[in-house]
Amino acid sequence: MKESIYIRNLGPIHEINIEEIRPLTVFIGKSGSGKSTLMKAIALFRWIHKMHNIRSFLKHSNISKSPFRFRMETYLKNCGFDKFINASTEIEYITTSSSGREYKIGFSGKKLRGTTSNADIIDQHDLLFNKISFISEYRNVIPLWADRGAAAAGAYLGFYFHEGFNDFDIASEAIKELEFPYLDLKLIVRKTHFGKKFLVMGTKGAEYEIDLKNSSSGQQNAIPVTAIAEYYSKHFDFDLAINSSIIKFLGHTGRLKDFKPIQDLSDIQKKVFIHIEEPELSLYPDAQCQLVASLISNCFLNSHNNIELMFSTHSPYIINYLNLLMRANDRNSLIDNAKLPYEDLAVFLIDEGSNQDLMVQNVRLVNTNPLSNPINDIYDRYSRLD
Amino acid sequence: MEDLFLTSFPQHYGQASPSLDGLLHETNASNFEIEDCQEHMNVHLQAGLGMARIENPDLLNLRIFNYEGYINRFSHQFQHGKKRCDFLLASDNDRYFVLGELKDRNPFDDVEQGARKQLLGSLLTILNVPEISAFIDTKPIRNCCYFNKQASAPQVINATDAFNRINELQHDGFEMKDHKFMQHGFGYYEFYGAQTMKLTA
Repeated sequence: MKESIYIRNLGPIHEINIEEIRPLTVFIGKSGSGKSTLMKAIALFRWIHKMHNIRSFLKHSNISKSPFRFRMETYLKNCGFDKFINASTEIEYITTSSSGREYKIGFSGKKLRGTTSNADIIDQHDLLFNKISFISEYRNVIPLWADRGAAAAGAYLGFYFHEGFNDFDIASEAIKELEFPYLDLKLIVRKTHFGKKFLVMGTKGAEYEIDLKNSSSGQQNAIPVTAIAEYYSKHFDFDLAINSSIIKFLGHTGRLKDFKPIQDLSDIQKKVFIHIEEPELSLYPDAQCQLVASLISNCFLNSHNNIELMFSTHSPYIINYLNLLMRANDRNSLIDNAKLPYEDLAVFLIDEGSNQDLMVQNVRLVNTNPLSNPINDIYDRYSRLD
Repeated sequence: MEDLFLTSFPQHYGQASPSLDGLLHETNASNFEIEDCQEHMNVHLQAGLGMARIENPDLLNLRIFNYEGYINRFSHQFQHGKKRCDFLLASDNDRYFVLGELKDRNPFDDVEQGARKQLLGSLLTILNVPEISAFIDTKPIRNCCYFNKQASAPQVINATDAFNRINELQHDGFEMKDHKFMQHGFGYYEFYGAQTMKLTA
């Protein structure tokens, strides 16, 4: 499946056109440039596409009445887009199946299009079930939130925080112990009468055991990201999750007896989309790179599920490191247990509300110069003081 | 190329013909550099003086036109808001047409974004002139190029060298995908530091 998105006049975004979202898609750009808005818009339309697929599957399976309605107003509010939308806002998300059929979901004139008529129904051969994960920049609150458990019940830290927290919570049901070689530690999840206890234990001779909430800020940022990626790559049971969703929806309609599945759920294509805001938060440069290597290794090289990854970053180290991983792939080698095909990567600079493709066309590299400019500027100014 | 800018361009825009004195350089040197120096543009045979490094191993006859200097000779009214890249380059052998923007960096400017705007604006201005557009059509290799002479740091600090190492991986510059140029039949290249534009027969 190929995905593309076009966005016009959405908050800081003036006009963005991404012709093909790649298995690893990365956004760089100044603060406030629209990276997060873009990633949230993509995640939202992927989710709408997911729900549209479920609706299509049910229609093919003799359930003509949809068990849910799309409520754009709520979704846009969750994304923080309510103030970003105006009459000229336009979003078009297109998926193209391997057979070449195109499915368009659009938003214009403050209305969602492409999900209601019979002509919009997704062909049974093109059905795709997906799972969306969004790990926000506020993830460093996850350890504290997890520690407070029931004491935090009822409090609300925003849609994206809770999305990330829920994923971490589910991940920690499946993961009892997780090694972080680049941080010389492991995460231990212990179940107690008072809920789960998250501990960080030193490895490589560093003998210590502390609560996750008391670990360093870099650890508190990196551990949830890695744990969630580990969960979706190795522990997430897609078929079980889809079955539960379908049964839940059928329960809403009271039409379970009419349900005649057109095909076995396990035969339908599936994909996990993980979105991460600034994976590098609070990490030393080499740990930033190692974190990205572990994500790529987990999501692309050692995954039971089909995963695509998207992140925003300000880190020149990570972007330069991607060049190393592409080189490793071209040399049939591994760097930090990871490698990445040039064809699987897209890197965009988001600037002045538009996107600029940073994949070099005549050599298999990302053009990292935009992120190197500040260091050149510093020494240009230094020279001018001579 | 002289006729196009002496006659066609001013006629198209309803302007008086400016003098082209000192704006056109011709060379067939195998290696040369172009320097943007205030109102002037210099072509140097000595390495290290210019912002754009050009390799011409087949000794093509090249004409390099100081486009910014040219636009600056029109009335203020005409100049107002008009993007102007530094130079245009054409080979006599009906092969190359290049628009070039030169930068010797200014602190904290968005130099690369600014360069794209200068190049695109200049491209649109010259393509509007039918005779120039027809001339460009005879050149199959058409590129807009941004050249940036890069910074260096005090000897004991290698940060700029380290960050700029990527540019050593590709001598011929970076070809970037940009639909704004592609839709007019032009490629977009970036050249940093020692990266060199190579023109062959």
